[in-house]
Amino acid sequence: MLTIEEVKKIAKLARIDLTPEEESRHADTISVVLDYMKILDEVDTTNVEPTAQVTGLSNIVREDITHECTIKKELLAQMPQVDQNELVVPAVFE
Amino acid sequence: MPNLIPIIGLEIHVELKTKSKMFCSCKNDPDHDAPNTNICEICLAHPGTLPVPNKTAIEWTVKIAQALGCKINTESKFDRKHYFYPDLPKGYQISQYDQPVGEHGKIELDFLPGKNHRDNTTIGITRVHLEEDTAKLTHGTKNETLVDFNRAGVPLVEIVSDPDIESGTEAKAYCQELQAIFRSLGVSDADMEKGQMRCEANISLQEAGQFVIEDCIVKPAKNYTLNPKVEVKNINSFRAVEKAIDFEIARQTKMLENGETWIQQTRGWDNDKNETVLQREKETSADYRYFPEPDIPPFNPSQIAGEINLPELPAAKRKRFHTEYGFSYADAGLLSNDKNWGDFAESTISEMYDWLHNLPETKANAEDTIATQKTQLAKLAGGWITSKLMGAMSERKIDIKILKIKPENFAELIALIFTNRVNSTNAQKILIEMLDSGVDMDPTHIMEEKGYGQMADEDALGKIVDEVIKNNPNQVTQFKAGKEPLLQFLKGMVMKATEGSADPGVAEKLLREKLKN
Amino acid sequence: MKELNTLTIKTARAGLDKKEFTSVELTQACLNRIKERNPELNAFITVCEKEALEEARAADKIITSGKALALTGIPFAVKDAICTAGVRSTASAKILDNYTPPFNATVIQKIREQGGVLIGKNNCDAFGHGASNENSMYGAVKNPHDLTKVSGGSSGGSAVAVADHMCIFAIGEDTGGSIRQPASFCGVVGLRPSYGRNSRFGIMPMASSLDTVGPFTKTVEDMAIVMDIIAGQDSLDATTVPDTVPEYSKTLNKKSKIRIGIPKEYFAFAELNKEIKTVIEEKINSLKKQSYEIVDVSLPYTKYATAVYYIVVPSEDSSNLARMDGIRYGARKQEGNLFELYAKTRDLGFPEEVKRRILIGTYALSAGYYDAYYKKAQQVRTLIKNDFDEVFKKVDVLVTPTSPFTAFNIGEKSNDPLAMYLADVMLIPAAVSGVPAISVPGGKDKNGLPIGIQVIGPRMGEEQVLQIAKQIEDSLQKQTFIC
Repeated sequence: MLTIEEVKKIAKLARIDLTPEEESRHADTISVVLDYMKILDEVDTTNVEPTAQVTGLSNIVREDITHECTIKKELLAQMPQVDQNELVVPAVFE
Repeated sequence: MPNLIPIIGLEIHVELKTKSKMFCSCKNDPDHDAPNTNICEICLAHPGTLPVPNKTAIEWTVKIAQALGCKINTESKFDRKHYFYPDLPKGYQISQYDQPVGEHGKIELDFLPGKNHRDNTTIGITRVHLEEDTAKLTHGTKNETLVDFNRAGVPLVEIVSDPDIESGTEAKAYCQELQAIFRSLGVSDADMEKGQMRCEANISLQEAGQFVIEDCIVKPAKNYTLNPKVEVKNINSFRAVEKAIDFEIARQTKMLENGETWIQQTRGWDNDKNETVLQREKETSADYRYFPEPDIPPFNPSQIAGEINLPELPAAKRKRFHTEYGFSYADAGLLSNDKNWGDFAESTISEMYDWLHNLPETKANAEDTIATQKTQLAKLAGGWITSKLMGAMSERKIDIKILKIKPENFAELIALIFTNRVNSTNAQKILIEMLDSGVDMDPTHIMEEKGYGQMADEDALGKIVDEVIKNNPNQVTQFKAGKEPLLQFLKGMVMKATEGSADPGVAEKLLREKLKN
Repeated sequence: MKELNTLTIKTARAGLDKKEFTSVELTQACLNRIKERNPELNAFITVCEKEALEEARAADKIITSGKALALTGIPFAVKDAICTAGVRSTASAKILDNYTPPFNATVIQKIREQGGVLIGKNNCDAFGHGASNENSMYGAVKNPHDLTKVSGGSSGGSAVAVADHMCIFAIGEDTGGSIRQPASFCGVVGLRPSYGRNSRFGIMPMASSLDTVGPFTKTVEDMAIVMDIIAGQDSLDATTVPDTVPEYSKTLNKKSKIRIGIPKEYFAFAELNKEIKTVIEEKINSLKKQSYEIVDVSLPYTKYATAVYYIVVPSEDSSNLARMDGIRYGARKQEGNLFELYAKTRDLGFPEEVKRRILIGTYALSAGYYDAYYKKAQQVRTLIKNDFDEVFKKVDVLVTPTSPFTAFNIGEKSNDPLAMYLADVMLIPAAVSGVPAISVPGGKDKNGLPIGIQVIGPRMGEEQVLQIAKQIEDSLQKQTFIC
């Protein structure tokens, strides 16, 4: 069971503003989902390595070479607020 | 009040000077260009963009870890560390969590007698891992923050020390040693003022005998509660490292003595006020939700790095400079901290030995001279490099990298001094001319042209001595009457008349001879 | 002559090269179909009418000059969660309502380099979160076979665009079934390639370790043509494999000796519709008649796949969507301090299901729960993957239903997230294991709704998957299940 308090805590961590109705709805639906996950408790995973990736690849790197980006202007144009080439956000230093 | 032991661990971040960023091909040049010029869709975390790790950055991290005596993990991987902040484009930093590149290393520190409460100590290195730097935030004009992403994604190595440091002096020495190592490896300029190297300190004070350090963690003895630790940030110079830690030790000591306590907290070093200032109190530890980075396959750092031949590290070089050349500990330390200076010093010594083999007054017994006077020679050369040359260069803001004087000519100057062909005053004038000429000038040439050479020629100097005797009859009479100190006055007049170039020994000898009569 | 928009890549290519019609005519036919049908079906969020016609005109010049490439002048559509340079890409979420990526996803770049004409961007479940295409902030997509039914999801708009002939082919994305399930519900061919076969660069991620990008086509032959173009290692995606890519369209009709496994667990689901079971069994029999060896096999960990998936996916998802913050691009709700900017932007920009998955993922990764959820799920994932590794030592492909049921009613499962999650029960095991799987039309139920047959192969085994899919398609005697 996920409590409303827990939902509030995760929502804060995930930076999502929720109304009290949403909090209660998510607490209910997520509890059902988490309950379903208990099926995994049936499985004995002693000494089983977790699979983080399925390709079996390793040591994938790129050479230290620079490549001039040709779309800088367009990237800046996507920014919500720009002042003299710098991105503007609300003050982080309070 | 029981004896309080400061327990200090440092986290050092150092930017690698690779050509490109950590996970994209943007230029790695956070300090020079205008804002947001070294950016692309990958380091701005546009949707769907993916990281591909920089081979050289991994190679250099292995180098650093090896230089610090770490064990290199055969299985390493990147992990995601999550938090929201405008300087973190992806909402997570690609870092390393449980399989860093290197672990379990150490650094040995030595101190000159009286400089620290212990003369030598070993600081354990918990881990060395590779991650990416964040964007740079600055205050805007209004109530806003400006973000420059040139630094976002620059390769950053984090070095975490064991909590083995006990004083500001040790912390500073540890940082300086790391800087010297980074420079000798050629992986970073590690300039703290430029933010290429950053230091965060964790400081607590515990009662002696009431704690143990196990697996890099401070554990309390039975019935003892650990005093909370304080994390200090915003430390931007070696001086600040020392001052911030000493301040914090004093502050915490005073609080404990007054029976006060505090909540675990983060404080910032204020360079102007010379004090640490509370930034935030931590009730619970941050929840970074680490998990393995699914966009990058795991890796074996040593396989990627290939065979690594470490250069001579600063500690070894320091030792060698002292034993092989006879430099003092202080000079050896200064000269081995920077590869360029170390090379300059070594070349100077070997060129100086060459000069001794070639100059008429020394060549007959050069080997003997070198063998018996090694320390004096090194002291002379070391002093002229570390105080005279470095001093003059620093006044002129000349960096060793752009110094025009070659060791051959510098060594010649030292040889001229050693053989008394020029006195110290004039040698300094020659050095300044060499420096200011902007080219690599021959000091003998300057000495001859400007007449800075020591007048040891008895005929030439004899004429000047005659002149001085003639012009100072009163002093001569008094000297002859037994006022010995007046000889120094007369010698001074000879020096003045020769603009300092007279050989003081010869001048004195001539004065005595001529005044006997 | 048939309506131009109903052509396949192969027939369109032939007609264009023989100058039977122009790319402008072909493109206009698709645009007309979109104008006529999209208001009802809602398969497109953005239609690039002007640009597509311009590209078609340029393509016609190239065709005239005899320099046509594989896709020159052929209109295609792209799921809106895939970046297309200069064309708005919203992922069906308001947080990217104004977002125009200045770069192409690698697969899109490859198609563009072969001359494909981008006709528009398809509606989908926001950021791929859903199995019905009802989780779009631009409205649900409707099934062209029955407007009261869902299209399937998450790449529903792309399946519909192909099924309803609004384009010749489309590119979608499959994390747990997002290509195969809508392909099955709409009656088109949809391929989830092996993980690592096609580049994910520029595909807005859901779960990085499962996401794949693949085509929707009208025929298996077209599928092979598109895969020939888009498959392969990409220096921008460290998880693509260096293996050589076979020429799928050349080996498609090769009748290799292929052993077909029938995994019993897929036929034991209580939800499996009888009509579907019958259709699949018929197809299996027909394959048997063509002298393919049929072997009964077992994948014992199948029933745990959905639970694994709904831990791994939200976890990676919560991380991948952290960059959707209104800071560097997209819609920003600037109100109050920085914390409020983040929280309000993300509240308004994501639909409920996206928020739910972010919350589940944040919870599963948070301190104290990681081992119980994420790590445990990744361990069970190993066992599911081992199932496939073992079974593919015995057989070359598996044949199963794509979905236990045909397209369901709009609204039927939208308030029951778990029921919606379980809709992908036959699709998730392959996704979790990273193996390729295709959904190919197999017939229709009594209500005229398409039934999909799934062919699953071993990692990098697209070749035999396509070959068997072709056999199944042929056995339908060229009967089309496209409206």
